[in-house]
Amino acid sequence: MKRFVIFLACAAALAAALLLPSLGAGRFVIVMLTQLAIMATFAMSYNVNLGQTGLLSFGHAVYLGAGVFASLYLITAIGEGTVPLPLEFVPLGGALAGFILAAIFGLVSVRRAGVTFAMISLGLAELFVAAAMLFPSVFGGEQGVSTDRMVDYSLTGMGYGRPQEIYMLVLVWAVFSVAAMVFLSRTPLGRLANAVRDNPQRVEYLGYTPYWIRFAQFCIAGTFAGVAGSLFALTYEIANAEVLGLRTSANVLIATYLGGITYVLGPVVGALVVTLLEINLARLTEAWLFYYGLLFIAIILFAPRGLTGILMDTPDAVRRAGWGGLAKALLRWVPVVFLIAAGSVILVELCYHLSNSFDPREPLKLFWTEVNAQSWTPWTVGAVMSISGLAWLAVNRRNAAPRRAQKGGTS
Amino acid sequence: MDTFIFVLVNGLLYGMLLFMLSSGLTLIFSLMGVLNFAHASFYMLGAYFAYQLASFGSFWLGLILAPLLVGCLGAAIERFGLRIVHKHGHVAELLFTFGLAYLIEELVRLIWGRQPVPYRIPESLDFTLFSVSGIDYSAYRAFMLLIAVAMFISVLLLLKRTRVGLMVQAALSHPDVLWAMGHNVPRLFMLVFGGGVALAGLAGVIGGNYLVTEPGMAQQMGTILFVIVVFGGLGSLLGAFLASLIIGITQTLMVTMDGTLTDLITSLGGAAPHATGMFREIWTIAPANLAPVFPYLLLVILLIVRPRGLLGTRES
Repeated sequence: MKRFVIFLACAAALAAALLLPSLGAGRFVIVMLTQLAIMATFAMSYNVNLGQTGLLSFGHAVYLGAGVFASLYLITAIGEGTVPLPLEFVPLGGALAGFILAAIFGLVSVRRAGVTFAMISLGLAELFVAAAMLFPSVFGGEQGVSTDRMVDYSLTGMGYGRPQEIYMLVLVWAVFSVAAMVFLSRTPLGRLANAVRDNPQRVEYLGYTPYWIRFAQFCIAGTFAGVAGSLFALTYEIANAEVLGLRTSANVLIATYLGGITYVLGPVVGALVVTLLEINLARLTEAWLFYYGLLFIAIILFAPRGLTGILMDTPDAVRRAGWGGLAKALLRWVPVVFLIAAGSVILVELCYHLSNSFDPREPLKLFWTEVNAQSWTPWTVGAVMSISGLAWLAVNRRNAAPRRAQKGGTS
Repeated sequence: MDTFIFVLVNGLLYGMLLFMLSSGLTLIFSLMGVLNFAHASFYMLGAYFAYQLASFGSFWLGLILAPLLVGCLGAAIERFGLRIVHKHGHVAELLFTFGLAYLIEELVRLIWGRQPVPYRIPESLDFTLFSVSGIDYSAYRAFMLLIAVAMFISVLLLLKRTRVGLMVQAALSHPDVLWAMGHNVPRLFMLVFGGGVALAGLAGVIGGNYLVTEPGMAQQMGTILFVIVVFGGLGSLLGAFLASLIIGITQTLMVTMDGTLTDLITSLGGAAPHATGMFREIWTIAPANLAPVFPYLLLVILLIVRPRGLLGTRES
């Protein structure tokens, strides 16, 4: 039953993604969907490391970047006619670049998993970024490397100039990559990777070498990150060395973890949420990165299996407590959480307005009303809301624990 | 020669500053198995707190109160955050501190803005202590060195001579036995976390006005810090000390050196190479440009030659 619902949801999402452009969706939606497809591919490739093999990497952006720059040069070369490759196959070049770099870096970094690997990945990434800054002739320095995807040589004869056209190309490659990664996770290699993640010693006793299994997975992750990089290059046609940096690596880590690393398609969910947040929250508030970080911390603390985990647990929670019981529990907790959240949002926005806006005396638009950030009233309202909510939580914490258990992790 | 000594002293100072951070980081790691990603963020918080306190009262108020505040904050985060995540394993802990670093950086932007804040050296220490062959040595640098050495000695004494230090040493190898003997090991963890973080805060107080106090300072310092603890061998205090000094001194030395590959070739009597095509910068890169790359290069080379680090005893 659960399986059927998931299958149905996937099919519906895919159909929607395919049909939206022909149904006359706006340019904004198309651009967002393209971004989502790239992010989903990238996050899925990241999860080959983190979720499947237990390799926490802080430098995954490097492989994305390898794909980006390789593809930028490749597209230019195709445009000049020096490389006889249809534009549709540019992601193969990105994949090759990602694979080569992952194979080189993987040899020195996958000896151990866990914290050591994480630190080495960070060091290698920093090395690569710092070195990239030294070579503006390759990475373009501040203004970056740019290209033009309007080349004459393509398989379908299409021009890929318009956002709808490039969206279809990106979508095809993204779906293919995600499907390939799902397939790879079910092969013996994928299963062995899971075993290496959980207990490398035992895998060694079985006669396999964890080092090479990790290495293989690392290369797969790098390859698909390269594909994601290619899609990035095809869409935006420009990039500078910033794309290799820690910000990008952090972003993909957060997206993957938000979605849920223990589920095969969890990163896709994470990519969806993060892309939506990035585009919509950033238009609403300047402090969106702060809320984003807060959400990440909350997920780590209270729902280590991510948003997909919460979704998957809901049917069980309904079965256990019944619709009525669930509604009662929600009614009991949601208003308080909402009160704290609203109070904190007021405080954060006021803070931000006071320290970062051009003129702090200007009225701030907050929850459909205009307030003066320099008067005491809004500060008091925000503080009272969040403190009273927190106090209520602290008082009711003792009977909160059993109730949360009853709700079955939906909290 | 005089310049060389000055550079050496400055490098030593930078190395000691790095050690103030890496000592706490490595102690926390060897005790709790948590590589605190947010360690440099507490360094940043120390600098910002000191700036705020200095604008209220004086620098000296900040010097005493800011590390204490940072330490209390760290202890609270250990008690109410890290301890909850602990049961999900080390990777979850690392992720938690990573999220924390992200959040603290945004928080600092939220409260103090995106631009650097004018956190200045106190006037009472803003004079030239001595000058040799035309180069001035400021009193504040001497003061920083003094604080760093004093901190080094007191941490050493604390670990070797006091009861708490003995407990920490015991907990390093056998926390279970210590727990069974009736000592409160979780509280010890909290104290060490708070203490290590307070040291980072102190480094921020004296380093923030020497360098720059800005929201990017944590990330800048953080990555070098990880290089140091991995380079010195994860969990080795002496290794962290050596690595801090090596990286501090070499990085400072490199900044003062000039000369490029082109210079080298022409001085050897060869013709200057044609700088064209990709990677043409390789002929004109000076050691000063290489200074930011150098720690990472050192790390990668060491990891290939000796994966457990300079003085590390285990690999993970």
